[in-house]
Parts: sequence; structure tokens; C-alpha cells
Amino acid sequence: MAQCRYYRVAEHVFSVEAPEALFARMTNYEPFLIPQDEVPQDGLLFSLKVMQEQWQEVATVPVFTDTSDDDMPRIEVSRIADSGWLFAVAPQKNAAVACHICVASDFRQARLYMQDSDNLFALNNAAMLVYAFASAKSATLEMHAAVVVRDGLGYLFLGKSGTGKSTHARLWQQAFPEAWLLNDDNPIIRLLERTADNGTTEQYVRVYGSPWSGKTPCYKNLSAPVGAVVKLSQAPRNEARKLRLPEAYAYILSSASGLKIEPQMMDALYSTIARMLAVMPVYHLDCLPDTDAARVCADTITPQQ
Amino acid sequence: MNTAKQGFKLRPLGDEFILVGESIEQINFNKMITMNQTAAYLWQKVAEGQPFDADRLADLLMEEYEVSREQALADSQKTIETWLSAGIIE
Repeated sequence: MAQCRYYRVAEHVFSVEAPEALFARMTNYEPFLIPQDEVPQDGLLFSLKVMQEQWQEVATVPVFTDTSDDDMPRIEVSRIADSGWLFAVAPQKNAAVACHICVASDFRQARLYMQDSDNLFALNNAAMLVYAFASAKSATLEMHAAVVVRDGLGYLFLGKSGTGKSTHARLWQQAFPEAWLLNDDNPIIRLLERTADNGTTEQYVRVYGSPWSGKTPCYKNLSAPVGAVVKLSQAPRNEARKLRLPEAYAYILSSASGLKIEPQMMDALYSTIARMLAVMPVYHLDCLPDTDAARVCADTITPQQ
Repeated sequence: MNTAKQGFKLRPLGDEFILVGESIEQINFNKMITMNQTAAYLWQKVAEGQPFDADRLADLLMEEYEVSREQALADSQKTIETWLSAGIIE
């Protein structure tokens, strides 16, 4: 029996329709589950349907294959006539395709065809992909980052797979007992407005946990204003510096999910990042894998009172 | 003569500009070029692929800025060298 459930992630609500057995395995989504009567009047960010039938080949035009990072899934992107996009996803660069995802041109509807009916990897990838695409025009970025919260502010650590994002997040928790992990791999950030102390409206960036957190089961439905973003590089020393706008832009863009060959989406990503950079500092940290790295980093990036 | 490669997008960022490969043609262009106001002005004039050389860029500079022919030519030659080594013109 297929069921439909609703989830709220970073204030965006989406639905998943799937066989009951699959929901039983989707424990990472449970903190984000909302009852149907809380679905907003203006509708869903997107709806994702897990199809029972097998994938049937359709006529497509290949666009490109994303194999940017060896440890990341390989995604073959094609266009389906005028009706939307097809994404064929494999777990790694040279693995077989695990699922096909058909997404409407407006990214509001998606159908997922899996090779194995209970493939949580496929479901997570489909949901993440469609979430990033559908939310891009709402000043929302799905990031590849680890994020810790300290004294009420979120700090995002960026870097390619293997540069030590998770390690640095753990070092913060060791160096500062009050620091905690919000998400280890795929937090969401949004540009929002708030009322400042002097009564005027100001923009700020907020980071949210998500049902996706890489290899670390950290699925927290919590959020915090962003204190700073830090791009990490392994180095024989610990040293932090603030980045100029072009570098900051490049690092945020390369860590944000999105269909970057789609001009409208690229416009949206650019607009979001450019506005975020006006209110969100971005740093670079050369670091060793030691707790001194966390202290050097925090000394530089923690906003002064 | 030089021509601008296609598939790049010039975007304002703070008080500078960045040129990024944002299309299928430039999907493997893994760099981002920063440009000041002057370079961005020149790029916009040649971005559609009209052939140009240092003389042409110098003309464009003198139309927009108070600058001697000699200075404009020197700046234009430097700009072309920079763009060639960045791989955004051919």
C-alpha cells in the first residue's frame, strides 16, 4: 500500500509518496514529519512519488554527467523532450545506475524509479536533488558542509570530500564543550529577514539541520543564525583568514547543490549567494587535525560582541 | 585578432565583477576570473564574439575614460595577455 507523508525541512514542506515498507526505514526523516493539516495553504515545495513499476527507457537528450568528486554519486543528466529532466544516479563514479528520477521542468513534481524497491540511498538522493532544485528560487541553498552550533550561532565547514569537515566539526566539540553538531554533511541555509535591535529590518542567514547528513546519523530539526562559513584546507599549520568576495563566492557556489547549467537556476544561486555574502563572513582555514585548529578558527571567526 | 570564447557570464559582486563558465560549453572551465570595472566594460563590448585587437580595445577605453592613446594601448595589450592566459579568449 502506498502512503503519502509530509516533511518540513528548513521551513519548506514537501511530500513523499511511497510503499509503507519504505517509510519504516526512513528514520532520518522522522524528526521532520508533520501532520497533513499543517501543510501550508500555498502548497508544497515539491512532491516526490516512489514508483512501484520498473523504469522504462524514454527518448532523452543527454546533457552532461556530473562526476566532479570521486566520493560523490555519479549523476547522468538528460532532458526529456519538453517535459522535464531525467537524472540517472549511481552510488559512485564507476557503479551501476541505482535509480532514475524524472523531474518536471518547474521542479515541483518528481517520480523515482529504483532498481531495488527499498533503496534508501536512492530515495535520499532523489529527495536531496529535488529539494535543492525546487528551493533554489526561494533564497535557499542546500550545502555540502558540516555545521556546529556554539553560543547560539552556526558555523559551516566547507571542503571537498576528505578534507576533514567532519573531523574539524568534532574538534570544535572537543575544544568547546558547549558546541554541538547540527548536521555533518547537508545542512540547508536560507537568506531571511529579522527585526534588528533598533527596529529596522535586516537580512541574515540561517542554517537548518536536514534528513541528510552523510555517514553520520545526525538528523536534527533545529536551526541557528549563521556566525560564519569556513573553507578548510589541510596544511602543516593552523591559520585562518577572511576571504575576499570572489573567493567566498566560488567556495559557496561549489559547495551548494543545484542544476548549474540551467540559466534560471544559476541566476537564482548567484542572487542568493551574492546577497548572503553581504551579511555572512566567509573565511579560509589552513588546519591540522588537532584541537588547536578549532581554537585558532574560533578566535578568528567568532563575531565580536 | 582575438575573439571571446562563448558560454561565460559576467556577474557583479560587491564593487568588482566575476566571469564564470555557466554553460555546457564551459562546464569544464573550473576557474573564475575577477574583473575590475574597466575590464568588465571591455569584456561586455567583445563578449558576443566580435573580433578585436589591442587597437580596438584602446579605442573602447578612450571612448569611456580620460586616458592617453599610449596608456590605453599598454593597458589593452596587458588585458589581452591576461585573458589569453586565463583561457577566456582565443
